Order: sequence, then C-alpha cells, then structure tokens
Amino acid sequence: MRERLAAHWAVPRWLAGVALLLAIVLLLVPGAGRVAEGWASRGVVGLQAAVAAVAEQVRGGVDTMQRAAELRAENRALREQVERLQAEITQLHELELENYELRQLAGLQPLPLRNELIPARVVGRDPLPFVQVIALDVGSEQGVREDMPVVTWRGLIGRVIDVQPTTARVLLITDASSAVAVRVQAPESRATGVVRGRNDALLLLQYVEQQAPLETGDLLITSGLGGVFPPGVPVGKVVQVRKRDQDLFQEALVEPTARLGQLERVYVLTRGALEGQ
Amino acid sequence: MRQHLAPLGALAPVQHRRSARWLIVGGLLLPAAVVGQTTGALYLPEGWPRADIGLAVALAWAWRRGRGEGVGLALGGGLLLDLASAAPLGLHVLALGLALLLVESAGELLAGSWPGRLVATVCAGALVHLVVLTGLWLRGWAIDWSRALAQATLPALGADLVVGVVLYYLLGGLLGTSAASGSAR
Repeated sequence: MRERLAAHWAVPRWLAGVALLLAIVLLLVPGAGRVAEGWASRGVVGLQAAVAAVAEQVRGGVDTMQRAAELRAENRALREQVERLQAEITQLHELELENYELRQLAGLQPLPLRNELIPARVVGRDPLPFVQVIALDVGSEQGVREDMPVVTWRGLIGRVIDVQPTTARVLLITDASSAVAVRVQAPESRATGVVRGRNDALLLLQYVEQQAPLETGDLLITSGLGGVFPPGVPVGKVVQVRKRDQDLFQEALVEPTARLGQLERVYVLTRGALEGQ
Repeated sequence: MRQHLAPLGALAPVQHRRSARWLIVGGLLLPAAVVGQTTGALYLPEGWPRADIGLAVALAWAWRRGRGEGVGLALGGGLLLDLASAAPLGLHVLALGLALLLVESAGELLAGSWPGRLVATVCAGALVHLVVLTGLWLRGWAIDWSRALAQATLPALGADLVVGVVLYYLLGGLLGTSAASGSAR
C-alpha cells in the first residue's frame, strides 16, 4: 500500500521536464508571469511579514527584560534629546522656507526640499547569499515605485529594484551591482566620487581626483548626481584611503553609516513634496 | 464504508493517516524552509554561511520518501523561492529541479549510503549556485565570481551538509520512515 502511495506522489520525469521547460521559457521571456508572480508573492510576503513580526516581538521582549534598568535611563535621555531636536527641527523648517523663498526671488530652480517617507518593515533577505537584496512589506499599493531610495535614520541603505502590489525588493548599497554618486561632506573638500558595493560589509569609493582632500573619518553623502538619490543623505565614513602616485584617481574603503546587517524598519523616500509645485 | 472514513483523520485506516501526514508535513515544510532561508537570514550574524534550506528539504525528502517525490518538492520549493527572490521567475525552479533530477538519475549510487548522500548534497548545492549565478549574470547582474564562490558558495555547501543531516533525522521523526523505504524508489 505504502509503495503505491509513494509511486502516486512521485513526479514523473516527463512532468519534471515540462516544468523545467516552462521555467526556461519564463527566464527567456522578460515580464512573462509577472501578473501571476504579483498575486502569488502576496502569500509569501504575508507569511514572511507574520514571522518577522513575531521574531521582532520576541527579540524586543527578550532585549527589554535583559536591559530593563539601562532602558529606563536611556528612555529618559532620549526624551530630553527628542525635545531638543524638536526645537531644532522647528528652526530648520524656518530656514528651509527662507531658503525656498530666497531661491525663488533669485530666480533659481527650487530644490526638492522635503521627501515623503513610506515606513516599511524588512521581512526577509534574498534567498541567494551572493545577492544583497532585502524584501519589504510595502509595494505599489502603498505608493512605492522602482528606483526610489530607501533609508534608515542613520543613512542610505539602497534603492527599490522590483515592485509587486504588496512587496518591494531593495538592492542594498553593499551589492556589487550598486553604484551611488557621493561627495565628501566636509566643506574644505566636497570631493565627488562613486561608491560601489563589494558584497561584503564595506563599500569601495572610486573616481575621486588625486588632488582632492580625502581622509579617514570623512563622511560621504549622496551628491544627487544621476537623479536617483536626493542630495545630502549620509552614505558612509571613510575607513581607509588608497592613494598611489601612478593612479589617476584615489580610492577608499567606506563603512556604511546604516547598520545593514540589522535592518528591521526602513523608509522609502518618495519624490519631494515641493518638487511638484 | 471504509472509503467514506478515509478522509476523517484519526478514524481513517492507518495507511491513509500516514498519507495525510506526509501531505501535511510536506505542505508545511516547504514554506517553513523558504521563510527560514529569507526571514531567518535577517537574524543570522554578519558573515555566517547561509544554507540552501529549500534544497536541503528536497534532498532529505528524497532520501526518506523517494527521489521522485524529492523532485516534486524541489520544483515546489523552487517556485516559492522564486516568489521570495529578486531573481527572475523560474530560476530557482530550474536550479533546484535540475539538481534533484541529477540526484534521481544517479540512483542508488548516491542515495544508497551516507557518503553518497553527502556527495550528492555537495554536488546539488554547487549545481544550484552555478545555475543561479549564471542566470543572474546573463540577466545583467554584476557577479564577482571568485568572491561569490569563495564567500557564498563554499560556506553554503558546508551549511547545506549540516542542515541536510538535521533535516534527514527530523523528517525521520516526523514521518516515522526509514531510509530504506525511500531510497529504493
């Protein structure tokens, strides 16, 4: 009896062959199966989101119990910091408006001053270990589009490369396919370059002119060149400079400001609210 | 009368209950493997090897329940992995399906003993990585081959062996089968 049941469940070779042929057709025809993928991915993302939420709760609960006293003191300090920062934000809004009006008076194109944020939960990494991609629990239904930048409050983490109705996939800046135009934030340098991923924890800064001042500890921010990333988002800090006389450009190793190994909640940056005005 | 009782769980004859249990275990194990491989990876420390849990489940099932069923799980697991991945739809189905068909074709040579199964796990894992890397490269992804092989594929093969052995014994406990009952088919 068991033999018959097992034989009944086994996939015949011809059927496996048909499945593989279908897979090859899907691979060769771009966009094939896109709609079905969108619907089917809802279930997978729902499951991932549920597990991620439970894991977050458990980790949060364990962390809270372990650090109860420390968290009370930290909470008090953070409340004070929030109040101080609220005051600073109010001042910055005033400066922002003043800058906007002055640019209009001077006849300059107003900058996209404010980006809207779509909060998202990270529900999984890509199953492929050599691809630095994460999945979010927001998609086109929440307003996410391809090429939108994704950040944490610490800095840039990547850009959206694939959007389904309820999920989006983000190519992290550490992926070898990622390139971000950056500049040194220090006013005495402002050197520009391109930061590329290396599929590990560090990034590689390239195409910085030999004469440009570049030092360990320099903060890199997005330059806005290329149009994908808005200017001024922190990307990383220089940890090692490689400068050789025979080279046209200098290079540097960069540590991302965002903790890419511990991502839980992130924000998708939509286009600026003032951009459309 | 027996025919009517068959779908009624505990009232059903023993063989039918076992059949339903295999279906439930298989149906739960594949999504769990995919969530483990994706959401679980979020909680792995940086630099730790990441096992191909979907492949390990299909292989463990093949050793326990028969290689033909292992192919079915590989195709189903590949589809779920495709839905959870930025890779083009069909790439994991192709990679896992080819790997399990290769194992099935090798017959008792690989499935009949522990050394054979370990060799099959390593070969299948390497084939899956090779197919996926090639597929991504053809789709225009920047692939640093030496770094991918050294830092992702080789550690993953080691992790596959460990996870594969654990899953083999876990499945044995869940299904109550011996290796011999599956390997012959």
